[in-house]
Amino acid sequence: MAEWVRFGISALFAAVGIFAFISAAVGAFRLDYVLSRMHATALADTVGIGAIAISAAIAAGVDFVTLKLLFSAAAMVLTSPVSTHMLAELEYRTGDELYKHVKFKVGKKWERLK
Amino acid sequence: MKKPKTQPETAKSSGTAASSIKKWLDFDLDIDSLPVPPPRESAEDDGGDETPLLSRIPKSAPRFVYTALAAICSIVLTATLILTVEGMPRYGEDQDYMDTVTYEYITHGMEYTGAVNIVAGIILEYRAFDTLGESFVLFCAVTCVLVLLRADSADSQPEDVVFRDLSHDAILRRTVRAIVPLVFMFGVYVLLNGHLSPGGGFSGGAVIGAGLVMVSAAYGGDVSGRIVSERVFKIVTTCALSFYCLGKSYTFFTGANGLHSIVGNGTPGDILSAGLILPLNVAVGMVVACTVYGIYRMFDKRSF
Repeated sequence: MAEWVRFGISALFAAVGIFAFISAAVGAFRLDYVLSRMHATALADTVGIGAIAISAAIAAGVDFVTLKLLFSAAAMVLTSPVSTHMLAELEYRTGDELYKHVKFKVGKKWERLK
Repeated sequence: MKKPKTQPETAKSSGTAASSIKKWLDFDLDIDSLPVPPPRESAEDDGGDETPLLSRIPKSAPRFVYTALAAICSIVLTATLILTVEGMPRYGEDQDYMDTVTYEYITHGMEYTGAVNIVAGIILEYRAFDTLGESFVLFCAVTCVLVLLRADSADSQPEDVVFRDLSHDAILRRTVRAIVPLVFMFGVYVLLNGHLSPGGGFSGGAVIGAGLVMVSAAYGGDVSGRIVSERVFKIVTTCALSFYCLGKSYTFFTGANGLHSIVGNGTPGDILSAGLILPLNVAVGMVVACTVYGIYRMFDKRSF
């Protein structure tokens, strides 16, 4: 019984991670601008890898490997948003097409620049 | 019909070319008086079709063909990989080895090399000169980058190439400050533990090099230059490669001739065991770290 409960929790976390990765793949193909695609894929890096690492840790049982898994998940959660932030900042500074995809508040309306 | 017509023309123009070169050498050539070459009629040669080559490829099979092909490729590849994994021996199980070389490495590898990690034993003892060659490939790569990208002198730094220096980003600096000590520690661990656990010179060196790149990206080259300056780079690379050559030549010489070597194998599993594998791992790691960092610095600022 306890085995099944553990398997269930592990599978739940794995499902969350796989959902994050699949939505990232869909977003990377469907969205039309760099920053939007970055938004979609960056979530997968943090949520997906973290959830799958937790799932593997639960499935394998608590030992020294669990510590390593959690360390690697923590490293991903710490570094992946920073790399996305730097890439997005580079795009923000140097991208020529940014204004076409951003809405500005004019009066009370949000409008795109023509 | 065209050829006989054009030939005398080119002959005549070459004659005028010779005379105009002579004029140019004598500093009295009037450029405006030179005959203007006729515009090329390449479009007519192509049959008047001005569409670029790529779009003239037939407008392709319908989309579902690509989808179906992609699906078939994915399924075949995934099935192959999964079936291969099914066919591999289970972890820790005894196998009947098909290959005598594999059998030799697996059964006698630890006894001969003293390395618990069989891979380290193979690449740094049996195939040590392969690894030396790989290190020299890295050395050549960084030398080529140095030759091609190096700024000629300090005052000829190209200003226009730098879009914007992102290294003053507070988020990046904080994160790098928190992570870099761990990265260096992990790299050193992978280096020193290469003969006992997965890892070794290349992976540990890449980790250390990545740490140096992180410092350089967040704090600029002045800070990372305090760790690895150009002088340090040259000394470390040369010493590591020379040490590798001499040390490995010595153990190969003594091993092949049955002489007594001063480098023993020690007890497998100890940190100081496995003969020269540990120092060779460190040497390879130094070269790899310096290569990664050096290439990054060259592409970033064209100097160390």
